[in-house]
This record gives sequence, structure tokens and C-alpha cells, in this order.
Amino acid sequence: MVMNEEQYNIILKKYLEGQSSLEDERLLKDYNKQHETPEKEWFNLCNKKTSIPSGLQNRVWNNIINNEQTTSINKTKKILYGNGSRSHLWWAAAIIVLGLFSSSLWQINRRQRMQNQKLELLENALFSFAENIKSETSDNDKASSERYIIYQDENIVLYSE
Amino acid sequence: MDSEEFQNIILPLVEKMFPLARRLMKNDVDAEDVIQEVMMKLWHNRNSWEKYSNPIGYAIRMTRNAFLDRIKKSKPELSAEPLEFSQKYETDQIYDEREASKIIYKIVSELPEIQRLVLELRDFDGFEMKEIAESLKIEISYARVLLSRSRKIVREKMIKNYGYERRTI
Repeated sequence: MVMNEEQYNIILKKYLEGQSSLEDERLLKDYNKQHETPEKEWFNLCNKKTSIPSGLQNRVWNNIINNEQTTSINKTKKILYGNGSRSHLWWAAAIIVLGLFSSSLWQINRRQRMQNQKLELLENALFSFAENIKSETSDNDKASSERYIIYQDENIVLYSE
Repeated sequence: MDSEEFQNIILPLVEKMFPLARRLMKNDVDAEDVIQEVMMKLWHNRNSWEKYSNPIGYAIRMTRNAFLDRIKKSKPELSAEPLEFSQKYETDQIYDEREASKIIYKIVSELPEIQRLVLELRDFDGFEMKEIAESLKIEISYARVLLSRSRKIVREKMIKNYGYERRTI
């Protein structure tokens, strides 16, 4: 678009009111390249482009990726080895916890074994008791023919000889 | 946001942010460092990216903050004049441009900070008004008012000081 002075002044007014668009401002800069105006130096300065270093985006991205990898390695190292002098404390704490854990496991195991032994003894005692009762009952059967039952229920048998 | 989206949406902002960083830092190396720092932060915040309505405005703010952090750490001597105009070789035309630019940068540097920021972001860096408003956390209408004031002041001072002298020569 080629502007005349009148159009230029209209856009310049918008510009000074802060109401111009970036496109309006580009037109003002273009106009000032070819015409002498009081604003020429200003627009020339605004028109200066900063040159972007080549490969900037790639460099930035590569650094981000490298930093990400280094950070994740450091995190793993931190978990494994801790942070400086504190690492010894972490190792000591881990050993103590492990010791306590294995000790309590041994205690539980020992208690279980003792309980099993007790149960075995009890079973043996009950078995021999049952054997005794059996032999006693068979002796009683022989004598029962000579006995007279006075009273009998589920638990008690009373008899006289 | 995955890495592909980041590369397609956020990484191209590097080219839009570089002129701003270059203007703030005054050399390519430091500007690139600032851009790298900003992009690294954006990458770490990539999963909360959706909550920012205007990514460019947010990136502008981060770039300015990175610059301010560096000033606090190193306290460099700040000058309103960019590096290009400090170079030794020059023709008459370059000399005139350099002198003109010196005057303009001086006028701009004398503006109140918020007006200067809006003016620089718009007229030197070419950002949209909504991006500028977002970066400075102000309303667009207020950003336009600030821009209008600063442009009028600059024009008035240029005509009064530099423009008048130039026409009388």
C-alpha cells in the first residue's frame, strides 16, 4: 500500500494515541524510509532488526535435553549415595532398620517353634491319657456284671457292688 | 505438554524473545544465556503451562526477571545505548545515525519506567499489546494509555531538541 501524506497523518495520529496496529506501524516505518518527516529517525531506529544467531533454537533445545539427562542421573545418584556427608547417616539408618527387622523375624520364628513343641507335648499327654481311660473302661466292663447301677447320666455312672 | 508440543509451540518463542534479551543484556552471549535460562524454566513448568492464558506475555516477564536477577548479581553498568552504536568504524551516515540514536535512547531512558517498558516492548521489540499488558500485569487499555503518553513525549522532545537542530543545519 502506497500512502500519501494525508493517510500518513491519520495513521500517525492513531499511533500517537496508542491505537495503531502492528500493520499500521509497519506502514509508518515504510513511509519514513522514503520521506523526510520529523519522526524519520525514530521510525528508522524502531525498524532496526536484531539479528538472531544461527542455530539458536537447536542450541537451546539441545541444552535443555542435556540438562534433563544430567538432572535425572544426579537424582539417581542422590537416591543411591545421598547428599555429601549425610550419606553415612542414611547408610547407618538403613543397617539399623535391617538389623531390627531380621531380629524381630528371628524372635517370631523362635516363638512359633516353642509353641509347636508345646502342642506336641500336649498331644502326647492327651494320647496317653486316652489310652489309660480305655484300659480302665475295659476293666470296668468285666466288673460291671457284678455291679448294680444306682444312677446314670451322660457324665456320671453311680453303682454299687 | 510433551516434548513435541514444547518444540512446536514454545521453542519458536526463542526468536521472538531474543531481540528483547539482546536489548536488555547488550551482547549476544549474555542474551543467549538469558534465553536459555528462560526456556529451561518454561521446560520445567511445561505441565502447568495451560494455566497461562498468554504464553508470550509470560515469557516476556520471565526474560525481564532473568535480566533483573542478573543485574542484582553482577550490577553491570547499564547504558541506554546498544552495542552497535559503540563501534569505532563509521561513515558520515553511520555517525549521524549513531548520534540520532544516542539522543533518542537518552530521551527514552528518561521516561518513567513503566512507560519506557511499554514503549520498548512495542516499538523496539514489536510485541502485541495483550502480550505487553500480560507481561507487566496491567490492563490493555492502561498499556495503550502509557504507550500513547510515552510516544507523545518522545516525539515532542525529538522535535524540540534533535529535530529542530537538524532542520536548521
